[in-house]
Amino acid sequence: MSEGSQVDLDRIEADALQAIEQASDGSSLESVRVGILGKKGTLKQVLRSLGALPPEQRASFGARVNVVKERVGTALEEAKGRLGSGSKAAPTAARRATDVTLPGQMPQRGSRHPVHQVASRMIRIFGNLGFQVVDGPEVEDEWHNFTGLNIPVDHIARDPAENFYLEDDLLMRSQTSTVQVRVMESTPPPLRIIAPGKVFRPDTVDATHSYMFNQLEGLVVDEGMTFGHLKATLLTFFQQLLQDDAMKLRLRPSFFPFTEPSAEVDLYWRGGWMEMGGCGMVDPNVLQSVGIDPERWTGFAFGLGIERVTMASFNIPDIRYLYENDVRFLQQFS
Amino acid sequence: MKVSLDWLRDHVDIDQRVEDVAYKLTMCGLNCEGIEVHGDDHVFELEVTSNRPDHLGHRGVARELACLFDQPLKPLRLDYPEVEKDSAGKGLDEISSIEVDDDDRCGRYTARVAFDVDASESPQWLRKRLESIGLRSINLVVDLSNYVLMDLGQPLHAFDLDRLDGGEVIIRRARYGESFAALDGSTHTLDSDDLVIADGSRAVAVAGVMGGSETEVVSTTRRILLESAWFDPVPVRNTSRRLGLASDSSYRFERRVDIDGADIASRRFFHLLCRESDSKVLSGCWEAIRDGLLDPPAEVPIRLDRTELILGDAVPAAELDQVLCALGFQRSGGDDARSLWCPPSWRADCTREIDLIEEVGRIHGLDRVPDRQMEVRVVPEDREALLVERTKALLEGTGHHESLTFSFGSEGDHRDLEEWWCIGEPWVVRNPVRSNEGVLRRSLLPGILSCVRGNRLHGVESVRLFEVARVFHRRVGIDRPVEKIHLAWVHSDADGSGPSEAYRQVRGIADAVLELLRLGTESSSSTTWNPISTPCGLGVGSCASLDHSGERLGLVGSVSLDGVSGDSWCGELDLGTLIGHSEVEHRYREFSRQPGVRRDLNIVIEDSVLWRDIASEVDAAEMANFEALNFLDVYRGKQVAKGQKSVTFSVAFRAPDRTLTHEEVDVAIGGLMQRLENRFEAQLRT
Repeated sequence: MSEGSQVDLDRIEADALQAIEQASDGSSLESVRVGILGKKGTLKQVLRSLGALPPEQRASFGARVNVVKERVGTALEEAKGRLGSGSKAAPTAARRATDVTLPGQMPQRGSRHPVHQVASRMIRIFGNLGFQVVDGPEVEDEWHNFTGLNIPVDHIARDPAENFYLEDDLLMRSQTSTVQVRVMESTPPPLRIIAPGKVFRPDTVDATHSYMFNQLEGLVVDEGMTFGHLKATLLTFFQQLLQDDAMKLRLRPSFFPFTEPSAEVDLYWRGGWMEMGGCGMVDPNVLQSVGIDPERWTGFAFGLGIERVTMASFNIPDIRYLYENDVRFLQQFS
Repeated sequence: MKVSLDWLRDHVDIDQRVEDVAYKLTMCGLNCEGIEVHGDDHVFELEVTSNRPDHLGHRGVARELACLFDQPLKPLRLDYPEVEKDSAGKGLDEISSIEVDDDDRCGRYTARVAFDVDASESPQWLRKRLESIGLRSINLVVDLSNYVLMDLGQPLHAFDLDRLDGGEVIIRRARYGESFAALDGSTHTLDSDDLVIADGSRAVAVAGVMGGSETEVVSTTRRILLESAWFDPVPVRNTSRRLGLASDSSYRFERRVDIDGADIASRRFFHLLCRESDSKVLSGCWEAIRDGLLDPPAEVPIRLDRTELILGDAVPAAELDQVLCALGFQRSGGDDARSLWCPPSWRADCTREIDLIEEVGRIHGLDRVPDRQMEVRVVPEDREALLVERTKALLEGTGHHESLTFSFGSEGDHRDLEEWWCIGEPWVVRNPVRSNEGVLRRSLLPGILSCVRGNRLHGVESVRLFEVARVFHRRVGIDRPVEKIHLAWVHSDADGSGPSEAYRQVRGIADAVLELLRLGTESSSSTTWNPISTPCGLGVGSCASLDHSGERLGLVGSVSLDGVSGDSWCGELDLGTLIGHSEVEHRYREFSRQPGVRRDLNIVIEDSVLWRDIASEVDAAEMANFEALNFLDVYRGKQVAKGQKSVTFSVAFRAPDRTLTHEEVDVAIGGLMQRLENRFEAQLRT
């Protein structure tokens, strides 16, 4: 008996669902409902046979009938919605229509931080130019932050007041150039890498300065690399970044201990030159300190300020806005 | 540094337009940040890099222009009349004496003496020069020493000889606790690290930094002793920093002044003093020089082909010669392919071939170097970066805004949370900018929670933030921080949902990330969520820990924020480690196209039984063709007995090769119910 009922029950459900699906108007749907759930409907009949079951099976069989009843009921409701038919008053065309001028129900949208959006874009452009992303630690030692970068022991850049020192000779890296040294120590040339990340300098905070900011470092070491390659690479990058072939870039001679010749990267932006970072040919001392022969290999390096690019791209007037994490600010960049 | 165009014309003829001069300077490394009009003069604001102290005087800048515009640098007059004896018939060594006690810090010291000095008003031309660069005229002697400083970059200091005790000048270390009154009115306590200029009884100047008020030259001064010296850069910088006392002199000494400049500047001063007044200068000069300091510098070679290799542009031998000569280098040998050069005394920065190549490149014009494209290279894909990127996309897509917080944290707030992640002491920052940023963070949550709180207090009603960043842990045996990439996220709503729903939402993010990394807890038994019983900084009884083979990899739970209504719910994952465990591989796998069977079960069970226990029992049942277990609902209330709850879930089955029969599924479900009953006394709800 129980086996037979089980089969019946599944068939009843399948038949009912099929009939509901095929119902083409309200009245045919209603007759399906009566045929199954009505006083003389099939489910009622099955329930009447409950008494014939052994007592220990009655409860679970009853529960199964209820489940089928519920599913059929749900399917009926859905079909009603689909056919637009109430069981009582005949629907008018006006009642059936949806007010399509109601606003949509939007899913909650998130956003990426503008600095990370720009960093991703920069990474993508350099990726297309053949640069591989590498990572370095935010906490560095003096060797990687200074010595390996040709910054002598008595150089002002090492002053404790200019850095965030931890214990012993550990400090928060003051530039992403540290990654240059790490990569050259572990990987023989040719090299073509970028290293984006946070850097730390205890500057006084104002509209254009923060004591933590993000840099994107680049390094190429290969045979025959010249200042001309450095220029072309940066030019191509900024053309892509600003989507402008005619944008103006200038490399203005400057000084950094780890590159020579060195230059500042200036971008012509809204009627004036804006400093975007520094660059230069890798200093032979830097190559020598990691065991690369500077007579055979030459290279160039650059470091660009990601916040600078972000502020320029999105017209953000104050660098501090970037670190407040105010939702009203962040959601503007979704 | 302020540089007057008129003043530059004293050294070199310039007839170019002001803007062209500024541009030329900028493009050779002297960035012109502004041009001020001063009557008929123009004043440039030039940014001088730390390697070029020779640019901290007008003549140094003029030398650059002479080279750029191919003009000669005008000679400097240094001559003046000398007298053997003063009015009392005494010579230089009878009225003064110089003694250098510490030549480790004073490389060169020169002193000359003048008498019958009329230190009154300065002539018009001198006042105009000083005023153009923002200096106030004081008296002739002080003005001339400032003028020479700004002209040649060599600091000078004039003492009132009559106020020097015993006419003595001793260059020595300060005595510990010795006090000093500077001429800017400040007073300082010195220590034995500071170098001073002293007379017979006291310190009268801090070497290279500032003179003292008691021996300064005033309008009534009649006899002066003029110091022109070379002090070692680092000690001057240290003293200046420690005392908080800086000057135009210390700025230059710190950057290393021209060792030959000391004598030249002194003679230039007396040439001008005699030209502008009736002062008399005693013949002779006190001078002390450290051994070896005046030795000529080593020759530096430069190769034409190497120059071309670095710059990417061929510079003719004649141009190279012309540039280096104009900058003051002297050719000492070699041929055109490899020439040898002796750098001038003011270019201590030029000791290697690359330094000379830079000089040639600068003047030749880096902007003239033609662009050269590199060939294209394939970049190997970075799996970790890709998975981090997908994780961020997931968080963004589920309505979270990405925050950017600092790597620093404080030790006090959320200590339990930080320690839950890492028991080792935090790494301490020696000189934090803010007092609540004294350590490196061990957890991302405190920083994000503080942003959430800020947002809520500003009236943002629903805040969803996330961040992927580093935390810094201490591990025994590792002498630097272990940096880990974490993901943290927070939900905080003014009209929040009930705790179990809020928990499931915040936990759902973690589960989705695990799913993305193919580390879902349903399928992998090595990653499990467990209740946290020890303090972890989150609400007791509603926080869970994600464990992977005994390793803590994440937590979720609630936290109450000061001044913010309702609980905020948050989670944090050790994303870097999870990615390390992840074996995401996108490759087609065969899947069953057969119809499946799903059974919904509603059981009544002791309230203390966890879903995890039910799930593991389902796992343990090892039902044939079992596909998935899905939680649907939990109910506590009138319909079930006290201390019990009703749990609804579905169990899905699917065979790889055929349609399952209801009979075999019933057998499996029957077996499962039996297990649940035996283990938890679970009953089907009727």
